[in-house]
Amino acid sequence: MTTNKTNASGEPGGVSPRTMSENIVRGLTPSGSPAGQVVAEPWGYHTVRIHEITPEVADVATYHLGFDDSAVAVAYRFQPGQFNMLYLPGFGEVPISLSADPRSSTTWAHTVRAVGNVTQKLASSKVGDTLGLRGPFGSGWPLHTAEGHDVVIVAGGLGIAPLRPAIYELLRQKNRFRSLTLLYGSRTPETILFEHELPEWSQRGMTVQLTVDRADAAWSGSVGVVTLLLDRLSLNDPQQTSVFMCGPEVMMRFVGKSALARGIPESQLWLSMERNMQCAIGLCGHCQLGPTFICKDGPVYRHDHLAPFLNVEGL
Amino acid sequence: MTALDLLQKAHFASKLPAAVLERLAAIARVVEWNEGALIFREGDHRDDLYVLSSGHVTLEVNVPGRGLTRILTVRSGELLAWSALLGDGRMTTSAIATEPTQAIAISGRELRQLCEADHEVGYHVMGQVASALSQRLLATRLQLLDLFAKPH
Ligand SMILES: Cc1cc2nc3c(=O)[nH]c(=O)nc-3n(C[C@H](O)[C@H](O)[C@H](O)COP(=O)(O)OP(=O)(O)OC[C@H]3O[C@@H](n4cnc5c(N)ncnc54)[C@H](O)[C@@H]3O)c2cc1C
Ligand code: FES
Repeated sequence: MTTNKTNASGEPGGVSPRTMSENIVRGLTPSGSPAGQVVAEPWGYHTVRIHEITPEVADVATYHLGFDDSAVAVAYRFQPGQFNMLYLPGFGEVPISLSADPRSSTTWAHTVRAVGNVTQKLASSKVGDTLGLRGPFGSGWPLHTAEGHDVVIVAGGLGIAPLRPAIYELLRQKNRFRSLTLLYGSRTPETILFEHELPEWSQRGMTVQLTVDRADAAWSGSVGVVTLLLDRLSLNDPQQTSVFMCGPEVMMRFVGKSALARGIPESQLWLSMERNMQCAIGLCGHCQLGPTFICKDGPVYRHDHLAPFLNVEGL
Repeated sequence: MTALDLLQKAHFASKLPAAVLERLAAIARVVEWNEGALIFREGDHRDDLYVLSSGHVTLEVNVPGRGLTRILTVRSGELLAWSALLGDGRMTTSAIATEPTQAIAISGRELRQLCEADHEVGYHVMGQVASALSQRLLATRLQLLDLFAKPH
């Protein structure tokens, strides 16, 4: 278990060090600048303004944030899978993944579900309001490790948000992968996120399979949990298949189990974890899971580096 | 295609030895439903169980106060109406073909007789049925956990 490495480069914990630009598929980084660069001191906030709010589904909206400082806007880069700390003065600070296209250059999307103090305050914000942002933090999806493979993305609920930047990059670099498949599970047909983008993703070469946990008779699509989609997926060659998953922890446990049962090597399974956070730079210990700090070593991990801690009560 | 051809391709039967497949095919027939066809209704007594060879079937339960609730989509290669083999033949859900669907139908009564007469066949068939049902049980548990619900 080697997950406890310093991770300034955005490399998932426990994987040999690489340069930042190697972390996503090589050659992806816009204008040759390093991806995932932290543009300020880790404690320093930048003022960002809400340029646009896209209501997605009940209690979920995408906030398109732009930096007030144009120099910061030019320098800001992130890797698919990384997150920012968003600060609402008087309410607190929350880690939120970037759901934007990593090639964004004017605004950066964050898709947020209103669950508590900070996120509900954000939900009452308007276009033009400002907040503080520090980041990006954490490891990104190591898409380069899947080059030449069949790539299977498994997303559950809001878990599709941190995967969306990876989907954009995979589609852009489609020829580097043998095939792209998205298996997406939602609670109901009404809570499918980014539904309007799914037809475009499939037109551009991604096989998209959608399932919902429950539906009424008006829904003619698939019903059943997302793990069943993986159980049923026909695989060309499990040894040459990579899986990137994000969703509730229990879901990921069973997706991992299903992938292993299908013969996909554990070293090709990647997941993104969530824990409460405070400092986001590996100092406070709030996000500790076993020997690893999710803010610094994660949130994206290789399955075998985290599996021993996924099922441990109290961790 | 014959019932044997279709069985050979079905995921449900993928681990059955050739000799067992042939015994099953001898009591099987191919059936088809149009999109929207009601295959059986919750509470109906049915003797046939099915292995889907193409198409989709959606299972529905009538929940008082909520109406018809879709709980699972059964796909090509999977088992439908297992109560015909294991239970009293009373269907626990309604089943609707959500697209043109083809299946291999096997009489539950005849299959039980076959399994009783030849325990070797019974062992293999019941092993596959148990594996299909355990996968469905696990999926049902995850569904019950309502993992994507908003945290309270
Ligand atoms: C790396 C990372 C990336 C994240 N990305 C996103 C994202 O893209 N979009 C998004 O909406 N959220 C994301 N989250 C979760 C988000 O940070 C929390 O929902 C947020 O911190 C809640 O803060 P709050 O003050 O609104 O709620 P609180 O008042 O702190 O909590 C309200 C309720 O929500 C529950 N809760 C808090 N955090 C979580 C959580 N992480 N998972 C499940 N339940 C929780 C609490 O137990 C409580 O019941 C991410 C978390 C991490 C660690
Ligand atoms: S939030 Fe990870 S150590 Fe502080």
